Amino acid sequence: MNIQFKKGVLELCVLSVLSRRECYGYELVSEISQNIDISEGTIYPLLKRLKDEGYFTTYLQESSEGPPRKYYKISQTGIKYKNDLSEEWNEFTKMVTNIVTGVK
Amino acid sequence: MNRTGFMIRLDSHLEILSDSEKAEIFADINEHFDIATSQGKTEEEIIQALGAPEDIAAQYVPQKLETATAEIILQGNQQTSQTQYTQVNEGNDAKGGKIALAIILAFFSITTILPVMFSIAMAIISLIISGGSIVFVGFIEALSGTIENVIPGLISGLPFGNTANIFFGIATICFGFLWTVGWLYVCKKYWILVKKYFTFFINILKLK
Repeated sequence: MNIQFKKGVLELCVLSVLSRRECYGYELVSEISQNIDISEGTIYPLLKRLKDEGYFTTYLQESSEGPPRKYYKISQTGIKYKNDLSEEWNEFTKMVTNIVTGVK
Repeated sequence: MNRTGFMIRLDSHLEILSDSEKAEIFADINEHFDIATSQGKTEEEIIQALGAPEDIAAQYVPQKLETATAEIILQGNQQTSQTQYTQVNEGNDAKGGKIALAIILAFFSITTILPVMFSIAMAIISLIISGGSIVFVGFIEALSGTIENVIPGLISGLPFGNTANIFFGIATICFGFLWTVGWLYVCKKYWILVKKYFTFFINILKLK
């Protein structure tokens, strides 16, 4: 897939996964990289930015295997932002589909 | 490249960030390595999937620049309209002040301090080298009697007798050495001062 497409939708993907459940970084990265072919390292800067902007909160939780893990939890503003983004995304894909398939 | 090499390369491209931010980033990436390793992946596989450390670092750094710029703008607005909130926003003020200081310092460094520093360094180096000339003159003076014997008339107007010339020559050589050692000492002190200045300057630029 085109790299610019991937970058644009990555934010929506991260927000969508987190709106369903709280995750630790590696879990989130694995889930996304399973579906989208992207360098896993690029997700961490995105997570930090969205956290700094107040869309997530983070907390440490003990793990049965190894050291505690940093979990990400979506905030109220995060949910609102995710809804706005997915609405935009739906409209955008509908428009593109119309043009690509030639529907008026 | 192994895990350590990856972290070193990541670190070298995150210099502009504060220590606390770097610590947060390292914690995230280290956690990734730890969990991936515990799931049986090799360091090579993990690094391959993460991508180049330079690319990852590049995505952290512009974020930081944008935040810094936004804070300067915010800072300006606060000062004009909401001076009564200065106390609440002390943290932001301190950071804005530091950014302003960094800009002023960078300006003065380039226009004034660096050229002056360079001139002083050149002067000290010249003085050290001049010590060599003094030693050379001392040698000529000490050997002037002998030179006069070998090639008569080469050195004119010898003020003293041969013994006195040897004595003064040796004294001049000693003075030349002392001169050089003295300026080397000054040079060392000066170098420490220059290093201190640059450390201070870099810390200011990092907005610590």
